[in-house]
Amino acid sequence: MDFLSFLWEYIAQVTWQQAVMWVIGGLLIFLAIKKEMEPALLLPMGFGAILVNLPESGVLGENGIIQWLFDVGIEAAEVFPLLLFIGIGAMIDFGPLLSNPKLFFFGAAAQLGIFLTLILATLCGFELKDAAATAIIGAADGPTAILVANKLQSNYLGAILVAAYSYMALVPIIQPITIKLCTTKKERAIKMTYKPGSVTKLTKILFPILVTVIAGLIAPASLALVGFLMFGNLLRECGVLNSLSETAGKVLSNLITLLLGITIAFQMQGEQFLQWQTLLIMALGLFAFVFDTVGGVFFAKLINLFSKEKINPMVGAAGISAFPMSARVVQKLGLEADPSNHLLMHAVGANVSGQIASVIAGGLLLRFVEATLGTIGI
Amino acid sequence: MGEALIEALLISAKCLLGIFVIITIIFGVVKLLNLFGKPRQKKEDPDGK
Repeated sequence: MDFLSFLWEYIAQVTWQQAVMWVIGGLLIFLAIKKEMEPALLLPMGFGAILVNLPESGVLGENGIIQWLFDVGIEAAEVFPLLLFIGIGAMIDFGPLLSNPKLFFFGAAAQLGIFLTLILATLCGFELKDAAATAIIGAADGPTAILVANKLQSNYLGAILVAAYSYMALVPIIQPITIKLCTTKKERAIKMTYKPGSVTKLTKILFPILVTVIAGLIAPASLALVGFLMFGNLLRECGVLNSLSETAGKVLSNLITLLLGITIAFQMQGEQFLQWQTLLIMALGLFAFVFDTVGGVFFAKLINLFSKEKINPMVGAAGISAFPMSARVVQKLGLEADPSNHLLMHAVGANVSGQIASVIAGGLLLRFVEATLGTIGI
Repeated sequence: MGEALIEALLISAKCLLGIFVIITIIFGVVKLLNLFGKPRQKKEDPDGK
């Protein structure tokens, strides 16, 4: 019987942490397929979680493919999240935002959750770099979360990304509850007239260039994020690179998304993932999303105190970066309050401003945390 | 803990201020672009061509 021992040699090496990670991997795959929750990310992450939690896994170690993908695609220069930003930029139409620039401020206000979470995470006993990496879940933007958490060398990258992507998928559940708690039905029924201003092609071309220069001059740490997002958008708007823009928006985005999920699974190895801090990070992530929404809603209410033309406070909630889920939530709630209340275009404008504000927030957070930790000088 | 909390508060305040400053500048730039970039009204051709 001894010659058959090779059959259970590795089975005997399975640890309880690895077994739990198989269950978590299975759960992510279930949520992706059955509930259609961010399937493009959760399915590869779930499968990857199983892959890296097999004893003596051949995908890890010096010649392991997942380790290599992580080292090259994320650890070295955050290649994957940045390339994904080119694709996102190529997909976004800033037109509704440019025709109503007031909406820019909702994007800024709806980042409140990030900073409240930073304070709360510090109170919970996290080190500053881990507190900041956890707080960035509130950016509601996967690539920004990956970049910031990785640059800060957080010990909880896996948990942070699982939380970030799960809550993005849960926006249609989290936001309506939060919005209803912060607004009255009368407020939700406020109608806003949509006056599409004509935005010239020149404005659309100059916008990504100028935003890059402004963000770069004030917050250089945000330049990689903002720059790649805006580069993608310039490809879209220039009008002479339609083929490249289409490739960036479709092929490049799909390709990177395909690799990103399974690469992130590198951080889901049982021993490092299964800590009580993971549960805490999930709770803090939820807190961040809720207070992003609260920040946006109350900022809109504040503006209404001084403005003749009332803004529906729900539009403020669309200032989070989860695009286009958040805009759809606001449209749906608006119609619920009054069947003739169409808020979609305003919400889309606020939503894309959230995309810009979240990358700026990520860059600023990096700058100030690194300066505090002494990595760079202010 | 106290020192860490103060650091976190300071970073949060600076980041929020920074975002609003950058967004305000972008807002101003977009307003200017919209102001100067308005498409000119085409003059009527006197010959009706």
